[in-house]
Amino acid sequence: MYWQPEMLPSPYVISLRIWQETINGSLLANLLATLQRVGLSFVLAMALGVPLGLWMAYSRRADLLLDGIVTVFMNIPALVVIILCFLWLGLNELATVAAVVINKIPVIVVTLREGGKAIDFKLMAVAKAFNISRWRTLLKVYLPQLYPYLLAATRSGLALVWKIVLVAELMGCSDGVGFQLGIYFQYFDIGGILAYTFAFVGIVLLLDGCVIRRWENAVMRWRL
Amino acid sequence: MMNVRISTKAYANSAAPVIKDLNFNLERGEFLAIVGPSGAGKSSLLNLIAGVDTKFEGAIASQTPDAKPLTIGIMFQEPRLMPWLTLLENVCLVSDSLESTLVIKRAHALLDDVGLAGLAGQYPNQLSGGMQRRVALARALMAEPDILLLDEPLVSLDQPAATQLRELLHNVWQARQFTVVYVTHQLDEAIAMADRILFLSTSPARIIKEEIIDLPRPRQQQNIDALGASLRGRAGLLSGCMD
Repeated sequence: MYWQPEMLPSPYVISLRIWQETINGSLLANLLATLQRVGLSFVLAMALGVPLGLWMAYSRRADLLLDGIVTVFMNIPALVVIILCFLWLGLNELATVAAVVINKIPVIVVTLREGGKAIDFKLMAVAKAFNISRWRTLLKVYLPQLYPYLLAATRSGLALVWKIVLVAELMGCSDGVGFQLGIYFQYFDIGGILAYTFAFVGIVLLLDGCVIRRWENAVMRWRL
Repeated sequence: MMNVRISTKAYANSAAPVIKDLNFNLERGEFLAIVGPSGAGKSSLLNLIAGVDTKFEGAIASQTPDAKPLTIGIMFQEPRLMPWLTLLENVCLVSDSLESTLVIKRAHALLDDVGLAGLAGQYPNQLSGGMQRRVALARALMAEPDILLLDEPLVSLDQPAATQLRELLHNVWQARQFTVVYVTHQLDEAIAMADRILFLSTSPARIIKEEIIDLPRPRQQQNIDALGASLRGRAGLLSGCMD
């Protein structure tokens, strides 16, 4: 096997490729399709995983009941879940999102279960003693204790979700970054693969810097 | 003003009650000290009065002329400030409105009263233990309490910080004339501050003696020492109820 320049294109070639894909509209359309799937899957996984994790933190019965199931789902390879979802639900959007959500929920559950267990009930007693309203107790006493865990779940969640979405798109979608990477893989087009990869990573970094890091700085300012 | 009648208070993980047959009245404007050894159930008693713990047999009934519920302020043994809130936000937390200019002004005034003017924007982790307790006192006062519950407020403070906080507590009580329930295991501290002292036994907590402190204020150390020695000298009666 001999090394060829096409196997690792220069930054200039990749930039040019990103530009070309942007101009012809393909990059933006595929990025948008993937981001929609990432966003929907992430929101659904958080909406289900956070209450489930907190329930397990406060109910010993729920913890005993669900702990084994969560452990099993955490250890099933993402690929198996994706394949099963496509076989059971068909090659459609629902199957893609369901596969991602099922893969992500156990990680959120485990993180938030620890968060729920770490709540300092001495601080909750302050709210009770001073008769602070439930809403204010939630916002000013309870949630701030959960923020580190919510942040961890968000960070690890986004990283995991977009990776799984790409695999699901590669296998069973007709658009999205994963789908396009599959096409370029078949043509052995490394330039195209890297152009899409860098474009998508750029967006994820932008999201991290503009949304998550700002949120983190706002809620964890007291630790600085 | 308030009648405290606790038949039994026990915890789920222990068969023996921590408090048994404990009855006393609280009068408006009085400074009551509750003295007992560590582990006697003093903090449990304060948690019951504060309504933090509602699992007990008995009743805590307030008797006010207008039938209005009594407002309770509490200083726990540890300051229990929210680390993510600034000092100003911690003090405002217990008020009805967080945003009102009036509330913020009052919180600033209270921080000023406890000697922390200018530190309103700091976080609790930037303060010493003594300063954090003063914030906890400002927070308790922000609730405009009819009854202020103080759980060992001077414990583990160094002497200058303890003296400063004791004087502050005394001045605030004299200025506002609310009822104070002051829990401590140190007899001299109770004599220095209180109008009346209840002595608790341990396991389970019961009142074994009540003493009216009829010393003029401000109280002189020699008077405190003399009364302390006299109370300690009453053989057997108070054995084991104070350090």
